[in-house]
Amino acid sequence: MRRFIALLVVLGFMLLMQLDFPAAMIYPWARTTYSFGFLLLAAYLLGDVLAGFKMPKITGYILAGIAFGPYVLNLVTLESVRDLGLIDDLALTFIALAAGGELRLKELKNRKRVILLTVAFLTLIVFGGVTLFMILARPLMPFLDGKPFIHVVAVAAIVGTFAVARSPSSAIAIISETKARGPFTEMVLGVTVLMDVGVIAFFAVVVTLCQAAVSTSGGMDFNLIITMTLEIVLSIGGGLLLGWLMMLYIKHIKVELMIFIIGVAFLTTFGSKQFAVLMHDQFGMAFHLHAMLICITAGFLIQNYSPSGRVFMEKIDHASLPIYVIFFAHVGADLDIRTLEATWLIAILIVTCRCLLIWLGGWVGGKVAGDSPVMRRWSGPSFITQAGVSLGLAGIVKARFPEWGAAVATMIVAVITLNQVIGPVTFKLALGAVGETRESRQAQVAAKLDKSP
Amino acid sequence: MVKVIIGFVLLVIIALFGYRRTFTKVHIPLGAQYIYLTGTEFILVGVALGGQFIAILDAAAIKSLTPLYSLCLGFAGLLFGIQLEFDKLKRLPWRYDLIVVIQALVTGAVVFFPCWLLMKYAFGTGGTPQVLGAFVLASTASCTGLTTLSLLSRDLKLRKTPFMELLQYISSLDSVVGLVGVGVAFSLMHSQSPFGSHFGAGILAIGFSLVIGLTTGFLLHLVTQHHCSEEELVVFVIGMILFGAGLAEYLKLSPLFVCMITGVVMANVKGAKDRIFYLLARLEHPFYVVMLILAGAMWNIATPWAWGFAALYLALRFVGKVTGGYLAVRAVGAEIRAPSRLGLGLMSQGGIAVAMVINFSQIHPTGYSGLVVTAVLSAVIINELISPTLIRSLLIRTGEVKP
Repeated sequence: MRRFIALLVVLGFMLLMQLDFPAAMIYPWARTTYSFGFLLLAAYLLGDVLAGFKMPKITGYILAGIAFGPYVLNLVTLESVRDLGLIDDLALTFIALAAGGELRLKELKNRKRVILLTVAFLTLIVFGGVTLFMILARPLMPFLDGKPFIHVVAVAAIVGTFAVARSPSSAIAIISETKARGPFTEMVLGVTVLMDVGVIAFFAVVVTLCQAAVSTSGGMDFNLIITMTLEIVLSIGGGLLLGWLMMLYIKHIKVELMIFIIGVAFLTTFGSKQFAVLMHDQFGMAFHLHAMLICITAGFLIQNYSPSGRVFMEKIDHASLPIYVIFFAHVGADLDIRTLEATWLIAILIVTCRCLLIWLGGWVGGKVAGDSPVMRRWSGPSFITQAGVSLGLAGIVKARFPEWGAAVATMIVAVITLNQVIGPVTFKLALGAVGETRESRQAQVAAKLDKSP
Repeated sequence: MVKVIIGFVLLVIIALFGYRRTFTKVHIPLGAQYIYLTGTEFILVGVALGGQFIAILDAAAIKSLTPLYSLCLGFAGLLFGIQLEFDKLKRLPWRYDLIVVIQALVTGAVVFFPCWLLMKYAFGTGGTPQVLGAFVLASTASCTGLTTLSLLSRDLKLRKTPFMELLQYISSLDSVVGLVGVGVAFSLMHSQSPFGSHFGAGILAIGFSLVIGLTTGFLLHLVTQHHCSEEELVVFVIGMILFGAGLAEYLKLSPLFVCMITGVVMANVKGAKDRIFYLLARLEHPFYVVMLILAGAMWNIATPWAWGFAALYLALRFVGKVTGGYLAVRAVGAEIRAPSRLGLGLMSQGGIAVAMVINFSQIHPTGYSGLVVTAVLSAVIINELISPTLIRSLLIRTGEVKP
């Protein structure tokens, strides 16, 4: 009740701030600051309310972002959301360091077969199934009216590729919230990270083939494949270098580790952006380093190839809650909910089809790998979430296919919006069902104690 | 490119020197040692990262980092305010408070008038805002940093020595004068309110400051009073600082003052004040370092004549502290044993002064704000260099330390 009152008072202040203050009286840059504070407080308080209904807190953070963001109540303006982009990037790299640090080589090796087979079946079944579904759903896509069949196949293949993508940031946030630990958690994280890397390469191949198919000249431009492969290789290389430097710092200097980690996150974000600007200005190339991939690699290296993995993860854990809250509230605020107005029917159908196919892919992967029945039943629901990388790739589709790219990107954003809300709920359910959340582990211990004489 | 290389080299030198100082036993003068222990060198790191050298924190980045600046300012205000527990303050005789107020006001006055006249006539920066500039200089001058005193007290093994206690009491409290001054001055700069232009707009702005500070204070109390984990406490404290400081900055008020009020509310109601204080104390160093880096980044060191002004400010502050200390000791008479050169022990300027100048430079970026930044930041560094020696010599005179 107290927290609800606090939420109402904060909301009241935000409504007052909508008054028309004289320009001389205000410092407009600070709008982002109080919006940031408001988002942090409101998202956490809403997440707390939802947690009472056994929902994941990050769903509350995302919903708060959507509700108070520019596309619904507009208490946090679009300008503020854009200004918070830097904080968002910073949070993402921080989360990526945490995701890398959660990948423990020993446990991954034990689950290697399940991980690889799940990745393979998820990719095949989801990509194939969604592509086929999209071809059949052509009447629901008016932007393809009058276009040759090859365009329909191209759109279907691109949407199929997006269906394969998932979100390591959401996965790590749910794992952190539920304090999940165990073979299933390791498998989900391993699959998620592997697919996050793989989808970039897969996307490059599909887009290149689609471009060749729909172009009138008929030639194939391999630039995108080469560029994106190089981006992945260089990002992993950069991550190894960064991880090694961080290991040296933790070993020899140690002081102010938290500032150091935040500084590294900031420099990685800044460095990746500057690198892209440099490549564009000097060589006219669109070439990016993936800050998230760099940090996942660095976190992985520190966790598995240095004795400081535990200290590193402890530090990250201490700062993680406000970072998750603001990151997911920002994700929610940034989701253009209006896209659902025009595409809600096709979006709901794609999401339903994708969910079923993911469940099937996870089940088949688990079955072939010999995983336990409970794990293969709950494997699929752990892979629904989508976020950042997918949104970035949607931008490339928009730029590469001027005829229908924008319409496809809008549809993809609508699908991501729904998946981002559904995914955390199903993943939390899955972790609880396999008994790897802290709550379920404690319940198991309590049950054992009750049985013992 | 040359700037980037120079900046990078500067950064490496500072880092290596800092590393050597911290991890090896290199003998360097007392002041220089304390510079590293108080973290003041991070101002130089900020200069290196700023627009003049590496340009990671150039003007655009600084603008986009407004929330971080506000967070640091609000943090400093909250940390200061939460220590102002009325019951604890009442335990010492009122004459202690009289010393605090007199020395701070005298220092402020000694700095204010010459700076104001110089800015008005020599630099030709006319209009009302120059009064604010001079007022900010006066307010920053009145502040005394506590860190150097605490470090010396630790190193010289001074426990319960009356003069050192008096110095620590003054330095822990005299920033209130400056903070209230800046809070009121920022508010009085308003000539307009949502109800239009009127004479009482400034007074109304003071009201806004109080309302925001008191409300965020009570809200923080409300959400942290019961069943609040450590992780949640971080979210609520940071969220409330950003919210309060952001509202204050948006309305061109002082986030330092507003968050100080938030802290005062928390300090004087029963609830999670101790947990919040320990949390803030734990985060103090990282925030302090970030604030110094950000301050350095906004410091344009390439204006030669600003250095002359900075030297004058430094000298005026020195005179102000010595005079203020002398008058304060005379005012309390023989009730409290303190040397007439008390002011020499109050030269360290500390983080609140840096926060004030960041706040001013952000919200009132006029032609002379660079002047004010140069004066205060250079004075902070130099005062940090000279204050350990001055305090030590004063303690020798009072007999609390052997020569």
